Amino acid sequence: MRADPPVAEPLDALAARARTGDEGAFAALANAVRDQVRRWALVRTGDPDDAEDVAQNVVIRLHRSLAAFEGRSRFATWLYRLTANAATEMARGHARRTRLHDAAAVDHAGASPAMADRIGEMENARMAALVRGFFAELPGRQREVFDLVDLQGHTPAEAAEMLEIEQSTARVHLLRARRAIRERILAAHPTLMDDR
Amino acid sequence: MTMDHATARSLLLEADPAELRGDGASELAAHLRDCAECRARADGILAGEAELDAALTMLAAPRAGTRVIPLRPRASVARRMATIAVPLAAAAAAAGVLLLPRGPAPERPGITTEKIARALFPRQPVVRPGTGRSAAVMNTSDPGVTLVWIY
Repeated sequence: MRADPPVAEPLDALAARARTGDEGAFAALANAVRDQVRRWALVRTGDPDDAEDVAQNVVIRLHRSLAAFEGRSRFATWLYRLTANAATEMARGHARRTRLHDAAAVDHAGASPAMADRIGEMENARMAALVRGFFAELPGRQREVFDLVDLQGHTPAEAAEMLEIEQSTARVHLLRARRAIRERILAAHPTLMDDR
Repeated sequence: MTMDHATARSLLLEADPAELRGDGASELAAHLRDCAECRARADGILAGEAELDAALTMLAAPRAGTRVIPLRPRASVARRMATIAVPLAAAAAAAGVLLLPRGPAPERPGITTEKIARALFPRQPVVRPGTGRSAAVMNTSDPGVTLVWIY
């Protein structure tokens, strides 16, 4: 677990330089944020391939939209919203295609084929079960808040701002997610569950 | 130790990670510093969350081959790309295209499509179309541009 948020002050400075047309700063910024954006997109979409597509779209949007970033929010907050919008548009595109094709062919209840493949490749069965539970059992918003706060080290206030929700709402999502995930973790460790 | 085990174990499920580590002045943190069994439970939770974090990082990492971007013809980036590979772009527009730089091309000033593509694909990409789709990879007269047609 990281103690510091992965998107820190230097990115704000990099974004400020890229805004002025500094191409080196833009390339550095694009490279610096891709892993982070992919992670956010993965948690939001639940599909590694979609996450990669979202990340690529976000880099292109970043190029188009950076001039509009006025620095009133943190760069990470602005970038998260860019990512969320790209992921939402992708989900709408999927929904349209599903309506156009055979809706019955897509099983929304289970993991996507790409996700199932990637989880199947994990050698650690407990880790695989954790991830499966994370995506199957938690609503999207709970997943996002938990990932941002407990795994990536943002404060609940920052997560609320990134997700554009009230802090109290973010806190409720966080506590529900923690309970679900921790019960699953403890259930996988029977020795920890022994009552005194 | 003022807190009983049942209360501590219930609080563990919603506590902040710092409390689980026994940091701070809360009753739970104090209990965890004194009770080895509850501490083991808290450590198990922290280890499980670290595993989940690692698993998500692993899943978010790109596979060995790089996927391609299906660009929509209406996008401004696609329009700029169309000016690079005019003859093939029109034919490919219906399917969605990706233009990839290959080999060194003369640098143009400003933030160009080539520079974005380079940022997107630091390594030579591998084209892997989705299920039920095919891809054609075509060289163009510009040695700096390869056209990938996904259909």
